[in-house]
Amino acid sequence: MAKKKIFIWLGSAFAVSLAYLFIAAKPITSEFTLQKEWSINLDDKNPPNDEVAANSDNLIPFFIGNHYGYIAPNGTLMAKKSIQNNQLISITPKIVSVWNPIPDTLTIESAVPDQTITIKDPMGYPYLVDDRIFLIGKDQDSVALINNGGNTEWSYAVGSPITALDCRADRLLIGTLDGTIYLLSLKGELLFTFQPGGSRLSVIAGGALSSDGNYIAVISGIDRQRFILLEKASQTYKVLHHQFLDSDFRRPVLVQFVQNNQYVLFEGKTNALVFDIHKRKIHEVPLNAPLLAIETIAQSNLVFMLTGKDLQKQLIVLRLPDRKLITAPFVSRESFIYTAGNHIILGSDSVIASYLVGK
Amino acid sequence: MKQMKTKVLTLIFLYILPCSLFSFDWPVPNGRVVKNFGQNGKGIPERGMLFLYEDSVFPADTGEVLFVGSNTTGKRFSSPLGNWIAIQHQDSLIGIYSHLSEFNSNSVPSLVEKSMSIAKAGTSGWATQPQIQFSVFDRKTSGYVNPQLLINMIDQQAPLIRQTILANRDGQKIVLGQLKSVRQGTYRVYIDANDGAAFFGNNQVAPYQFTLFVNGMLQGELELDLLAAKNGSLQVGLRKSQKSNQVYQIDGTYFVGEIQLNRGKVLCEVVVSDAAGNQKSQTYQFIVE
Repeated sequence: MAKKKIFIWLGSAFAVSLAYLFIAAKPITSEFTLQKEWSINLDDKNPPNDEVAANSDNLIPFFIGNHYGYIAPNGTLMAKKSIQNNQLISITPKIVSVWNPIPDTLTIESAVPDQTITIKDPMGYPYLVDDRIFLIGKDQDSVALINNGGNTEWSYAVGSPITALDCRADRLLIGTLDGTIYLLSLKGELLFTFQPGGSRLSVIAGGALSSDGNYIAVISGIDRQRFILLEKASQTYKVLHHQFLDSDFRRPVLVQFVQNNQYVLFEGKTNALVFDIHKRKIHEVPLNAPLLAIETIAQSNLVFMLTGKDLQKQLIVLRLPDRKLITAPFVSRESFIYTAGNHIILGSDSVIASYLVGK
Repeated sequence: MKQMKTKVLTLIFLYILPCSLFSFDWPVPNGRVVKNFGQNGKGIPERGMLFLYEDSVFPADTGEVLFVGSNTTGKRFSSPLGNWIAIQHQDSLIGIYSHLSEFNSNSVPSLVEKSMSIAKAGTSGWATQPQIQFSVFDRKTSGYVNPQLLINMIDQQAPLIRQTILANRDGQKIVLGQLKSVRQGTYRVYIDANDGAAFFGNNQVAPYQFTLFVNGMLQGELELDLLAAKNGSLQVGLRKSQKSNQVYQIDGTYFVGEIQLNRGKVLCEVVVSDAAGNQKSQTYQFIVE
């Protein structure tokens, strides 16, 4: 009788284990790898390759330390220039501008140096997005669009200092100190404006547009800080989701749509928060330093995050929504990340290296 | 007894009112202003007070830090304000302290008092020499208010009216006082005026108010008390707001109004006053043909 009981117990345990294996087991995901393809030391005296410069597409822009320029996808340094300590820069894969604190003129050069746009007596600083030129007024409370002739197409005053900017899908999102967001068309028309409110003090700490222009994500207010997601509805935008946060940032907060606008990634109090738009669920990824940059690879569920405080930096690779694949600490004064195709480019002080992202 | 009580209450009220009105202090001790609110800089109005200064900056009043921006705000755009701090003060007023030197944003406490240095003046952003720009944004009016209205300052010097210019529809300009007669028609009136005070060093800055009378009738008024954006364009004035790009001329003059001059003798009076109430008036007599 006792033997029978033991068999029954053992049989049940085996059946439960088997059931568990069928129900709970997940296939092992393919191994994630970063394979170094090339690296460049900007302190080396190798001259840039002008021949490649004249023909290259998909250029990789860089600005690190006092150096800026372009690298071809194969790792050929195409242009390397220096800026003075007090100069400022805006660089995209297509255009670049370097200017003095109070510029008499602004020069915007194309990456392949065949075209130059000059803006005379500019009353502000350029904000370059892809091949578009915006001018942020010297009081940081207006934005103007500049055409290829260097003339102002339109100008829009927002009344209080700009705290957040994003340009995607032929729209410009502006967040301001007084807690207002403005959405402008690239013709300078106001498409939508919104004051999130709901906090003791209103301010826009961060804002982002989705690549299709259908969503706007905003981090607003102090005490309590809020995450707000707006969705396009006919000619306007409506609140799709709002959530109070633990954070109380009184500084710019990074916000970005990732993986074909399925998620919004932004900085939380001690973590990165990943909001799943369809499931309306927030995932937390612990961070031990402020979030400095977010980069994604198109059509992929991988996100690269650069975090850091002082000299201690970390490259974190995240498989969405919340699985940390790699945490790579390194020491660097200045650093940046950039993605091109299925490559992640990491700049650290004078070294820039490209890694092939593989599975 | 009742009269006595009323007198005491009135005295207390009169004492409290200026104290509350002027609870703001300048953010720099013994600073010299080189540009003031509403000043015309190549057709663009100055949003606050610009001090040339290179030492510690103090909050104008107690408050709570609302936002700290750096030279590269969020790495997305270069900030013309450079390193800047916005502090939420009393009564919906936000103090904006910009062009500061580099500072650790973690070292600025959330709550600040007047005696607490928040940073040092610097050359960040739209600046080439150590300075601090102090602006006050009012949430209620959604615009920058003139800080001279909030802070007690001694100024006994009247403004200076340099010239008053009439411009007809063809753009022809007539400097009043130089001609004894003008043609009948519609004219735009521009005033070139400055203000000076010990507080401004030897610098000529913007007056506060411009008033234009023609034959004793009020024909134009401009008050540099508020700069607010409406429908994407900057407007000047709280009571009578006008587009700033119409008021502020690239040559440094201010547009104060349009007048219709008909045949006969005309007495035109221009009154310019500063924020402390010092006034300067200039009259022009001419014949309209």
